[in-house]
Amino acid sequence: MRNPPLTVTSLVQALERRELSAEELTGEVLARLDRTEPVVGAFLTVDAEGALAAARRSDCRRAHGETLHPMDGIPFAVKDNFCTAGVRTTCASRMLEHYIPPYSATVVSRLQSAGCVLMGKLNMDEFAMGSSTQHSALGITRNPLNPECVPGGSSGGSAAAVAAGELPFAIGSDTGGSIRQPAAFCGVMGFKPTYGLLSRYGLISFAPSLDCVGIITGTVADAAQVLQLTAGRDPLDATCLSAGIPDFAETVGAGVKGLRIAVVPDAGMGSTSAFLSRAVLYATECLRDAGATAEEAVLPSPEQALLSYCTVSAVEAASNLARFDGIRFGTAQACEESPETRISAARGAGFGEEVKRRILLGTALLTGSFRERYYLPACRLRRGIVQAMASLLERYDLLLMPTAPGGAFRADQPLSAMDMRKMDLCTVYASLAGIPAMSVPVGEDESGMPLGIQIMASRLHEDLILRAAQVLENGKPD
Amino acid sequence: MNMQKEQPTDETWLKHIAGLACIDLTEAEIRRYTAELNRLLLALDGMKAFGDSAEGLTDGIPESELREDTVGSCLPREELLSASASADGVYYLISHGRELWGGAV
Repeated sequence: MRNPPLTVTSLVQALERRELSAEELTGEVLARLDRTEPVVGAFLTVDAEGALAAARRSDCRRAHGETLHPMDGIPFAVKDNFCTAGVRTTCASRMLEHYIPPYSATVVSRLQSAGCVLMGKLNMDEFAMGSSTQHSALGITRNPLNPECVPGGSSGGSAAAVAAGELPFAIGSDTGGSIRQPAAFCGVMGFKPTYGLLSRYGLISFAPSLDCVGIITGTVADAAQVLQLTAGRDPLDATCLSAGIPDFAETVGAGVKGLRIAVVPDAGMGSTSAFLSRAVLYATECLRDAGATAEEAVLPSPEQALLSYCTVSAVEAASNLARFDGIRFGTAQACEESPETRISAARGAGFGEEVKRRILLGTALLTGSFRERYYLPACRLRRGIVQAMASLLERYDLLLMPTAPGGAFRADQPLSAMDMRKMDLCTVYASLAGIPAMSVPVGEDESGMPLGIQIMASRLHEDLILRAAQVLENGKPD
Repeated sequence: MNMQKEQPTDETWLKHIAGLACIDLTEAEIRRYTAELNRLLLALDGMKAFGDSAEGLTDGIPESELREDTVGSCLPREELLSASASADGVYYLISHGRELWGGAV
């Protein structure tokens, strides 16, 4: 259930050459949504009226020679945990089902300031907690490549929309792999930049020390273009870096000649499927053929990294989601008793199963002796992983490994809470260390579903990742 | 190490945790989450020391990445209390200027 792909690069050219107007392009996207959304279900909210009005303003600017940016008129959508002024923002939760923010996230404002056209809001796991988008309280999203499979998560709507050819790019958030894993499951590019390169202002937080804003596109060049537009210091986010932003579009085609690449074929899991091994081997050969040197390397145990991630993220989530009390945010339940009773009732009714599980776990981990026993060791473990990754990336320019333990699994395949978390096994390293990582589709599994290969680099070396991703996108010469 | 001996993790404990988290749970949820949290805690017991545990938990923030904070004066309590609430609440400007592409929004 897919449309022909849309790419930023080709649409920018078509708009520049006046081969189509922004209004026609927006109309085409709306027509595509009519065709594929009944099956894919990537969107929670489509703002057709707002999008057409923005597109007409873009056409007006172009007619007067006043385009704001080359991407003026390009349609996009964002995961539903980004605040959008005047457009419903739910986090796929009953708690925020009717919430309309009074302001927009910086990443949304930057795209709109450049003239990009916001089409609507995309489905996700509730409060970004999940790896399949099955934990959305407001709708089901299916994988466009096989509707019987999940799209991954938590940015499942963002990946599915791009993979279905509904949009040229989408914005998501990545806490433990929530952009890279769905991108791998849906066969598109998923980019999690360095922690702090993109502003988190207006992103409804899950775990603030891990949350990153990222990009899902169909091509590497598109990822570079969107990254260029959205990255950079924001005075509204104290954790946003003030580092200079290189010209990503300029460097993306520079190749990988002379780069040193560490390959971790099994991501430290001990074994992988033959299909995944072949995908890693193919990616390694592509990079070697392009002039890079590649060696096998070893990483700290992914299970240990996952345990650290589970602990730290649950504790931060429990603290973070305390604000959803049914009074300031959320649906207050009718109750004549004390405010405490009312708040507990609102949270009990408003949060879904997975969110409650993580809040309870995070709360428990900070009580009594559990803080010393679990939380502090998890923080030390995280620090050890940061040091191990930094040490490895001093010796190598890039790190290559699978994005996920396999391809997209069937929606009717029951997974326990812990098995679901194992979907993040390969992605939590970059999340804990705050380093950039990108998933590139390489190969297929036994069911014909795409497999993703993840490329990582040290902090603020997004340009190296884009160069390697471009080589993988081009593939081996026949 | 058997955590059951050190700190009880039964349904009474789970009710206490739910109370701290301000979440009403049904009896069925209490039973389910008690079992699930016990499984998760057992998994977390597999966490091993890694790296130099004597070091501090966080790095200092490099000076180059610090921003200049501006602190304005607080509104007097009387002024706050007398402000009439509008339909979508009352907002106070706490930050000036946004460095956005193409100018302010």
